[in-house]
Amino acid sequence: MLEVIHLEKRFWLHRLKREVTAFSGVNLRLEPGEFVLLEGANGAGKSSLLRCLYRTYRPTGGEAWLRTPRGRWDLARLGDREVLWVRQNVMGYVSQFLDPRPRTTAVDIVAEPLLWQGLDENQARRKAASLLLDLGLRPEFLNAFPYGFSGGERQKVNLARALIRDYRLLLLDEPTASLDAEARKALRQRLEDLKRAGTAILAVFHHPEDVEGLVDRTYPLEAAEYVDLRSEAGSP
Amino acid sequence: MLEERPILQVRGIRKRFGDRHALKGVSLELYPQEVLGIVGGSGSGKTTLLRILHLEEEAEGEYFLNVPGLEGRNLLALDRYQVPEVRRWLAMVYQDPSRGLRMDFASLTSVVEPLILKGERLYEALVAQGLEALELADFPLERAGSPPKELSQGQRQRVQIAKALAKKPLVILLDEPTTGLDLLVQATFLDTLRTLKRRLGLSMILVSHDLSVIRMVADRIVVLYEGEVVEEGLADQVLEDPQHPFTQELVGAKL
Repeated sequence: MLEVIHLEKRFWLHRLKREVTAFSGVNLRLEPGEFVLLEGANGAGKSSLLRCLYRTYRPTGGEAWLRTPRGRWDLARLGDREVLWVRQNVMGYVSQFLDPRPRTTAVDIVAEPLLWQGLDENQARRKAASLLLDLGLRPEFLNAFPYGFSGGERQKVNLARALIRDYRLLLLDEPTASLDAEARKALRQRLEDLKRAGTAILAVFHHPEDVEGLVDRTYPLEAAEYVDLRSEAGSP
Repeated sequence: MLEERPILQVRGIRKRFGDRHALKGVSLELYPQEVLGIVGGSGSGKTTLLRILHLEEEAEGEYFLNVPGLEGRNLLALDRYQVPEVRRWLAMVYQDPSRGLRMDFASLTSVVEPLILKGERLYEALVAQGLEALELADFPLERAGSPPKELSQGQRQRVQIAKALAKKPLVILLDEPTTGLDLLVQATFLDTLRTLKRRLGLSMILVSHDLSVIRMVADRIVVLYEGEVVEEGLADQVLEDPQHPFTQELVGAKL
């Protein structure tokens, strides 16, 4: 499903005249239906790796080959339009926090990926509401704007938006950090179903016990060194 | 890899005002059903670029619209009399509503004006289409007879949107449409744009100096700096992993 070869991400911070390596030399293979957990201390680059694969960050080196219905594509070099297509059809991502769009209700945020797929609005809203309720969102919140929600309620919306579709690859960045026990259980159940249906999952979990028994392998990331270019002349 | 072709494409646009180079070779594409955000500071050339796209300003370079009858024709090399033929595919929403609307006449008048230019003469048909466009723009229909000068700034911008929609264009160009609106009005206005994009399959180019406006609606972002495109990418990418010093400063100032 996904083959990552020597992937690396460096940030060049102009104001500080400084380069920061988020991670480097990542080699990773993910088969359909496989669940791989990323491990590593704070700053080891776990979130950055997921963001590079989702292409919120631009990788600065290496390759990341993704199997799609349109062929095998290198996420590290893919054009923006193709990345959008991959996001709408192949790959879902859950961040730690929801960045809610103003004036958009919880149901509409979750229903949107179904509209991309061509579902009509009523059907999409029904499916979205049902998943949100499964995750334990209170019914009176379905048609409210998530700006006023607590962290946990927001996170349910965030999760549902990624889980509403049967993506072939799911990237999860500490999705349970703010969730209550009921929502964690519902998430676990949904991931189990997706995994059985062949979805590959690459994830960071603050509490790995949330997904105990689902994980096939772990992948350790080591903290990369910080390079200060002001003191080290000749650095890359 | 996707067979999709851009609906609008410009290559190497240059514009000089006297000795000043306002645009120094700008290239960009707009795809069907896409909102492209153009962000830049004052003097970056973003408004000039939009005026060129609306054929209000001449420039060097190439400009193509992928619509029947215009494919492969450089729109910057057209004769003046051919401009209306191109404009029927384009609509412009100005920061200053008095540039797009007749401030002293009923709002509906401004909305149906492009229809009259297109040749519609039937009064009932004009009213029906005008009201439909106002409704799509989330404008309170009971105010359709009020002149824009009696409306709030947010409502005036909705009349401009309705005027744009009445024309049934393929591309809507928006120049700082929410500047000067209070935050709530701004958010509901941008929400209308998102809904229209989805429901009507419209493509839009939205110019703004305000990153938070751009991030709410844009699929992709182009960063203009001193007349050049210094960065372009997916909206989340440009906001979260900015590459150019100007973009890094802009994003840093926002967070």
